[in-house]
Formats: sequence, C-alpha cells, structure tokens
Amino acid sequence: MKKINYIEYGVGNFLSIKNSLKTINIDLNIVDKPENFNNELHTLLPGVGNFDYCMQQLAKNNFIEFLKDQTNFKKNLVGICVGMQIMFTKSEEAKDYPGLGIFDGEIVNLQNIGIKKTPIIGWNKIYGNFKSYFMNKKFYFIHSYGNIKSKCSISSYKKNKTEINAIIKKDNFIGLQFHPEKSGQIGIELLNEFFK
Amino acid sequence: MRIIPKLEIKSGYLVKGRQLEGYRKIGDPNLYAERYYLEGADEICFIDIVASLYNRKLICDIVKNISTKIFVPLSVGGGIKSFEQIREIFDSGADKIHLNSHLFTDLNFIEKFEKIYGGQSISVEIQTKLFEGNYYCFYDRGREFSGIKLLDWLKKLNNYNFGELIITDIERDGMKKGVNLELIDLVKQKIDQKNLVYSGGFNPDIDDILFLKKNLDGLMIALSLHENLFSIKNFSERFN
Repeated sequence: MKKINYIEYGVGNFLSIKNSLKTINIDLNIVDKPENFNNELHTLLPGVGNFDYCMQQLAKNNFIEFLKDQTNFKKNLVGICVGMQIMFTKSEEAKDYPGLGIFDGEIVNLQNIGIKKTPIIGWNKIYGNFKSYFMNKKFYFIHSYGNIKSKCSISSYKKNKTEINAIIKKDNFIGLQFHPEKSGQIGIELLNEFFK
Repeated sequence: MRIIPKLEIKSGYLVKGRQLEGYRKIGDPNLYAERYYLEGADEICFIDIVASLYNRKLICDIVKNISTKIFVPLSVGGGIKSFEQIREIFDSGADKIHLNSHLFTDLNFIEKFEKIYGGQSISVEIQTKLFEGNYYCFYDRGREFSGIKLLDWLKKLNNYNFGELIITDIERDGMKKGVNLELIDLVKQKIDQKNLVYSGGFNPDIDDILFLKKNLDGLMIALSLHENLFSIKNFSERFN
C-alpha cells in the first residue's frame, strides 16, 4: 500500500481522511513530530476549526519552522480547509499568529466580502483552470473565512456573486478550501490526483 | 438546500416514532445510511434517542463503521453534554455535533465548544411546539418543558457563533403532515443570518420542495425516506 505523510498536530478529522484514502489504497505515515517526516512521500496538512488554534497546536508540536521551509517538500504538500488557510500569509480570524506564508495573500471574513450568512455550508460547483474532469463538479464546503484574490488560485466557486477560491496551487504546494474527504466519490478522485 | 436523512438510533437499531415518542424498530442503520448516501444525501444525521452510556457506545460504533463507506458529512445528536463525549464522537468520524438539552443548563457551552472546534461544527437544535398560543422550547426528545418561549430563546442564541440552527416541530415529527411553514417563517424573521435546517413532517405529496429550497438551508427527512416515499437523487445539492 502506498503511503503519504499525515501531519498530526491534534487538529483535524483524522478518521475521515484515513478512511477516504484507504479506498484508493493510500495509507498514512503519521507525522506527529518533524523527525517522523519522510520527504519521499506526498504530505497532507489537515485543519478544522479556528486559525489561531491550529497555529498554536502546530507551534506546540514544533511544526512551524519545519512547514515554513519549503525546501523540506520534494513532493506535494496538500492543505485542507483551515490546513489550506494557514498556508497563507495571514488571516482576519487570527489574533495571535501569522500564517505559514507559503501562499501570498490574506484569508478574510466572508461576511466582509458580501456573504450574508456564514458559515457557508453545502455543495458548490467549482470552476477554473485545473483538470477539466474536476471542473463543474460539486464539492462540500464549510467555512466562514476564505481567500478571494490570489495569484495562485486555479479554481474558485461563486456565492452571492462573490468569487471564492477553491483550489490554490503554487508548484508542489496545494490548498483545498473544501473537504475532499467529505465530497463523495469525486473528492476521493481529486485526492488521488494530488497523491498519485 | 441540503437533503439530510435523519436516523434515530435505539439499542443499535434504526427506529422511528411519532411526535418524538413511541419509537418502533425499522432496521439496520448501516444499510439505510449507505442507501441514502448512494442516492445522493448531502449529509447524514444520527440521533441517539436514549442517550445512555451504553447507547452512545453503540452510536459511535455505527458512525465508525459508516465512515469507512460514506464520504459525506456526518452529524450526531442526543444527550451530548461533555467534551469527553464530543471527543469520542469526533474520533468516530463525525463532523458535526447537535446540542439542545444541555444548553438549558449551560448556554455558554456553545462558546467553550467554539474555541476548540470552531462554530461551524455546532448545530443547535430546538424542539418546539405550540402551548397556549405560543411556541415553547422543549428538551430531552420533547419530554421536558423548558418554560422558555421560542422567540426568547432565539434572541439569546443570536449572540452565539454556531454553524446552523435545526428547528424540530415536535407535533409534526413522524406524522407526514407536511412541514410547518408558519414556524419556518417565524424563525427566519428572528434569525436571518444563520443557516436554518428544518425537521418534522416532510411529505413529498404535500410539500412544495422548490418553495422549501428558497426558504431553508437544510431539510431533515426521516419517515418519508424510510418508507421509500421520497427519492433524494432529484433534489439533493450534491446531485443537482
């Protein structure tokens, strides 16, 4: 069975990710400290909840400097949801921590950019310049903060006429605002695409 | 509007009652959940109607098993009042937690929860029925009367950050009499910046689903699905 690194820092829905990857024969190398990282493997950075809480947990487990050093990653690093948001420079949600600064740009409160009801919860079609197979397909989103103007955006979705980034990609660094592990079969296929 | 199959669980079985009482056995929840997933359910909700220690273990085992086959959001409710329980439920593969009864003793529980897991994974449920001309809030599966008017409770809840509000009409639960449009309208007027999910009485022969789509973010369905009266695939967000 193929393996990927899973950054375990006490945040994220471990079981859901493990179960979804198991269906495509991918097992997890649990990385609970930087020493357990295998640079021959792709890496998944999970994240659920609050930006500051995620950064605080990363700090507690000595991951911040490690993740900031992009030369550590020969293969893909894929951030999911808040795992993607902390890869940006900063967030309006954060009071204590800046982000990892892998992607230039800011995560903003969606209420400040024309979204009346947050969190956005539900299935949205994504558009953009990524593999056509995944475009115009629906993925499951749940978020109150997000990114709107980023050079690295390769796919987005529309809500109340606002365009919100769905997939960010800079070289081998990838961020997904939605939850592929909760997006049915198409979500699993997308994970397979990034971890093949 | 998300279509959310609601699976009430007792002693490991899928059950369904009328007006949150008199539950009868329907079958194996694993089979029903998997069927609803394949038909296009946008998420699936599990309610522990007994909320005993033994039953919670059973519901966690069900969710754990289902999360190996079902890749849409899973939510769990019923008698949740501690972070130990919440950790156990999340570790079983659930994504959202429903809170109701415990909020009548500790409303600030929402805030404590939010600081750790974020508001998006909290669904606040309200069980309500008319009493002397006003809607009142109930808890413990509609058995206990809180004495608090629905509108007063909504006003209080408005100060908190949570993902969605689930409004359950006790008298319509399991009755297939159609959803309570008056209740939906009343709640929407008071809380228009929260996601609103409705539960109780949905019947595809009575309800105008296109109208509901305009007014709700989510619709929970139990009996009409268990009895095969409604097909999810033409109406779910995921498939349409």
